[in-house]
Amino acid sequence: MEARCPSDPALERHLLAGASSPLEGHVSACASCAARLEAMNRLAEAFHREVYPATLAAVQAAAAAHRRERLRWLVLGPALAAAVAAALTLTRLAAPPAEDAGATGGLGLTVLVQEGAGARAVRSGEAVDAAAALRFRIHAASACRLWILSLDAAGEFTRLYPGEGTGGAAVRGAVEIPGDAVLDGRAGPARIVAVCTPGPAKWRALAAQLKGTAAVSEDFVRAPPNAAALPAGATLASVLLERRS
Amino acid sequence: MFSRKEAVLTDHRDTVAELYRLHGPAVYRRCLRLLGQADLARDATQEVFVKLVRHLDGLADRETALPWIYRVATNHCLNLKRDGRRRGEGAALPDLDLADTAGAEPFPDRTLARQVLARFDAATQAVAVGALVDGLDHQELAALLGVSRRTVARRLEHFLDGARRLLGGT
Repeated sequence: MEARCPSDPALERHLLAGASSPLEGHVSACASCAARLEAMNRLAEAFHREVYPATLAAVQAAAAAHRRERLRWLVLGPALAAAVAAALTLTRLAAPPAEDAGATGGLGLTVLVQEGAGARAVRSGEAVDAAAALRFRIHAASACRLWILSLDAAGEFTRLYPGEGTGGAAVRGAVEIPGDAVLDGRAGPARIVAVCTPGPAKWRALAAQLKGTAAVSEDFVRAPPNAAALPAGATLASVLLERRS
Repeated sequence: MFSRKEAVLTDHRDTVAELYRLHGPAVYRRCLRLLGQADLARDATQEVFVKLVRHLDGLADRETALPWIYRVATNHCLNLKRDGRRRGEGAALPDLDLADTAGAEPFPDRTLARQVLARFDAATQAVAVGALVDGLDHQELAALLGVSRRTVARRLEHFLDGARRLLGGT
């Protein structure tokens, strides 16, 4: 038995892990830990008896409201018909950020804005309607795991594609991204960022690396993303949108 | 029969309910530990979980969910203590007992007074509570808070220096 009993957070992990917990040996032989676990289980029972039924509806309603807000950005639907022109904006990692530059053989991102029955490619920095519907096209020179994120003027990254899963979508070559993203109607800069990593990666971690410790401002959104902060081998492409209402 | 959209929404509600059932107890225990009152902990648990479900995939990943829950719940509850909001109950919130394992820390009291804690920024408060109240070692606390051990040590030293001055200690 270890000399020191595990901390409360460690016991929380133990409860979540169940029989596979590495602490099983210690806690099964430690009266103090057994008493702490019993107390924790009593509080869990109190939660399930009193807190959960009284608060679940509010939690679900708040989650649904947040989801609806996100869906204003991302309206996933069936793949639309063929697109029109494309404008590749490529940045390759490991080199100085050449944001929105021409093809470099890494990752290409095309942002298309719906106009009438067709769509047109957007140049980085171009003004678009604040409620425009966007579609995306990717070209990955080699197989990788893709995330498409949006960065708004508040500095918040939002996951656009894939809408589910945790490791990113496996892509290679030219890929039409299914569905479209509808801008939320607010004016100001927004940046669409595509990141492709050699293996599965969590989008939130990638967003945190891109954000770093930078102060959030419209200038931050307009500046080229700090691609060098991403994991080795990752490629990045981005397009800046100036939303006009 | 559900339409596709309704089915998706129903799945989402079910997912939220399942994650709340799974992780809610940890949030509730953390809030009760810091707030000391069941009714405040219940409300805080709901508020914390509303923050957490904005990022459902983070909750679904069991490896990383608990440290994140610890951070969000700790910061939220310390904010409640600091601000003293919530129907004026903040003034009645209890001080925090120091963990037995925190005995090696040169803190001049056996409780961490709310008024002392409130003198420091949120990041320093989280470190002080983790080290002194939860009794976490620097390495575990650094992992939970997502900062370096050096940052933990520096913030704790900053807190202890300030607290000793406030308490008239050495």
